[in-house]
Amino acid sequence: MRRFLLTALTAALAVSATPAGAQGVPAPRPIPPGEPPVTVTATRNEPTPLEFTADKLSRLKVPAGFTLKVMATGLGNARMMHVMPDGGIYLTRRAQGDVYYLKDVNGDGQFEATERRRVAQNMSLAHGLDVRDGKLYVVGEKTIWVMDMAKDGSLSVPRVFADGFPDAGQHPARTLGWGPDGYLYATFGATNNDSPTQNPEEATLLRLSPDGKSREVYSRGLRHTIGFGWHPVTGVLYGWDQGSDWHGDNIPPEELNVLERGKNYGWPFCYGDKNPDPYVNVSGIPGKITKAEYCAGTTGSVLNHTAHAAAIAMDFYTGSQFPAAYRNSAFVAFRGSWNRNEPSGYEIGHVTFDANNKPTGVTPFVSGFVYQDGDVWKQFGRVAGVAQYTDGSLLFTDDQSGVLYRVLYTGGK
Amino acid sequence: MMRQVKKNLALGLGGAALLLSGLVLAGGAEPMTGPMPANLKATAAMRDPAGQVRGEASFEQVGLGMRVTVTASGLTPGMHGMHFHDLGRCTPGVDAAVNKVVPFGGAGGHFDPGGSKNHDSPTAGNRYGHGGDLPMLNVGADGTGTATFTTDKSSLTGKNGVLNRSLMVHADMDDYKSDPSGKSGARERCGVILRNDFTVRDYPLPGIQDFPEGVAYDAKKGVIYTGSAANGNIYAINASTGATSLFSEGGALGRSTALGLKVDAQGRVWVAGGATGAISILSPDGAPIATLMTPPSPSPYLNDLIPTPDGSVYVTDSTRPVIWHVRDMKVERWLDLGGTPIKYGPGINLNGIVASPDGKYLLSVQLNTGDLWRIDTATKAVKKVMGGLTNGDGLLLDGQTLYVARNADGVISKVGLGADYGSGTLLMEEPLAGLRFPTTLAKVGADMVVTQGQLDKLQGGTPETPFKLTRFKTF
Repeated sequence: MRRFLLTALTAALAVSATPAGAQGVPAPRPIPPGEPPVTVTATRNEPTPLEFTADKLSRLKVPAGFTLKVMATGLGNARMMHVMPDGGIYLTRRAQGDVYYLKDVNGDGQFEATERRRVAQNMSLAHGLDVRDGKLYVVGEKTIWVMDMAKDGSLSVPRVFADGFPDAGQHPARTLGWGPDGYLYATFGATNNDSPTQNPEEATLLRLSPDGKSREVYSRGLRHTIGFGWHPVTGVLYGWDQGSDWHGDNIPPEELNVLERGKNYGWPFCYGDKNPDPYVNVSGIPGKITKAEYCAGTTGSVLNHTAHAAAIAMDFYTGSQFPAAYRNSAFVAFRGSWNRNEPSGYEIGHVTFDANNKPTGVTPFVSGFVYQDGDVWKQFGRVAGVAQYTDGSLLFTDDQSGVLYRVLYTGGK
Repeated sequence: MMRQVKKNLALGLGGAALLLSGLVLAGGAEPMTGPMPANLKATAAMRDPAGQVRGEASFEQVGLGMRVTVTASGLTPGMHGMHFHDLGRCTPGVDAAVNKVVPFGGAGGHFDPGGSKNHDSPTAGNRYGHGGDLPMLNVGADGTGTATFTTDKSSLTGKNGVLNRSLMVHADMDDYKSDPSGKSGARERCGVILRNDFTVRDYPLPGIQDFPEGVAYDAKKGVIYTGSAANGNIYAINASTGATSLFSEGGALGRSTALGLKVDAQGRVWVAGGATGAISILSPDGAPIATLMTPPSPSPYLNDLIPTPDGSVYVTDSTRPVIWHVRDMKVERWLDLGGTPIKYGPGINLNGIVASPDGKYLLSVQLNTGDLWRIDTATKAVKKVMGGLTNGDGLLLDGQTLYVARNADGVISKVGLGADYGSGTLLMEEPLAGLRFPTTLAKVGADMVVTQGQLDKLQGGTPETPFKLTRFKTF
């Protein structure tokens, strides 16, 4: 046997073997670390729902100079909208599993019965939608469908574009959007509230190849990110995530995240700025490391909002009808809490951005859907879809009473 | 109780070597069949928990066994339990029994290559007791203990190899029976067993669940790709700087695990998807291009793949007797092995696959039988090249030389191939600086890179982090 030594390694091999980033990899433990007990006070407070009636409109507040109008009622479980350049609107109705097409043909600002029709059906939990190259894409429970669009708004029979997505479980509001890179992005929430998921496509933002036949996990640790979109100036991808239930009135906050490829946003173990959530069992963490060690490897939010407000849709405003300060900021629908002593959400929020196009905060834009009547909390609107109309006004839906609202800027007129 | 105890230890205490019996193979241990490196020696500096060196151990390969000499000082007089521990880390770590960080807890539990899950005497076969169970260290009145002994329960190479593991001296005597450590108490001296006069370069990985299985090298970019068998994450490693970035997150359909990896002529990365039954193709920037599914039943296990010059990709399936073929992004059954000499049995069958540069021949190793097969791509004729490569996983063909990562054996085998790759001779079994379940190999210039997959720890036990790939001079 010849002597065998590898001492004559090249200079390149002699370079330090430890690149940045690999240092400080937590050591997997032989057994989970355990944590001391914690007690939580949580409240179920589902405000008494009231059907929309016109007399309740006076309860709604919008900023000075803005006017609120109702374009349609009786639309059923009106969820997400996509506005076409000609003013036609595709509207998903999750409970009905279909798509409506609305077009204000006579220009009276109303969608009368003759101006609304069902153009696709039999799509379980149809929710998010987007348009590209003359085709409408809709995501439902476990499927993304594609339909050819006709000029009159009609759709072909849906074809399966991609399939085999995870069970919806507790969070069946899926959304999708074509990214500036030509890939289709779609979110799939967690089946559960606050424990690790079995299917690694759960609690993620997925990115699909343009033909729908291949996909990757783009971001993970997202319990239920529904409203997402790319900033019109910076192209940065933002998404609102709904935090866990039953962890009290203020933990975890709702999060606005900058969604980047390959990043983990912490759910179920961490919230906000990589804070360990004390109300989640530690034993399910991969590698049996501590929650603090795990959270250190995740990505924090860029903005937090009142817990349980339940952000559901977000739309960047690119129109010119509203004052200039609104341009390239975002509107977000907070569908409203059921797990907070004092209800949060039940409003359209305005996500403000600074001169550098960085988000700075959330202020109420349309509020008043929830109120206290004596000692009883009541609400008359679960806001859902948000979209910019062709004239630069803002549309949003209430999926409880099937109302389509429109906010116009009338200040200075 | 059917218990086989074989005397397999030559034991000396207090420096006086006393041969108890002839060396006999320990139960569960398998002999190395191929030549091993000459002058295989190692050293461990025995440290106290404060990090001070308080002794030394030396190791020398003797046949299939190993001669060990230990000196440790500053200990209480009397007998001290002594064992090889699983991991090469003399750092504080969690003792699971008390769920607390203890000195040298980072070394893990006793080295147990036979999977005995049992603490026993230094003479028990490895299937019945930890391979790391050693004779006690007898410490004299001066606080210094010295032992010299020879064992074949452990070795410096092969399945029982202790390179880059640790030698531990405990506070109390070892009763040679109580689990997990013979009631030998606290860990007082620890040394990592390092091979003498031997250097490799490690590429550490950033995750705690990386379990790197596949490796491929893109020479144009200078990038090494490796993927996780546990979660499918694929990393890109700059071969010169070692900087690591996430190339493709695992977890999507067909991508929840990543086994064999290859880079094709267009710089695309091909991924064998193991039990997902999927073959994934990623663009040079990591974006998903295609996910090709094989039928879901019976259970798939796509283990490795190889592109050939005609644009084909051949894929091994370790549980279904078929070789798959991809052409124009379509997957088909190419060769039904039922009609060939390759007979599938329990466990992992065909695993690593390589092709001759002209694409005329495929070579694939059958892990459970240790047979190496040659398949003619034109005629589909199958010929057995050689046997003896049990636990053969990834292959690397370099001219007429074949390198085989022998995962559970912790070595890389070098095989000389005859004309037309039709015969083979085992030339060397190389443990490098100690390998933890090496699964696959890639050539990087004049060097090679091997994954240290630790896949045995996927089924239980605690892996050592950071996970790593190891680069070494071609031998």
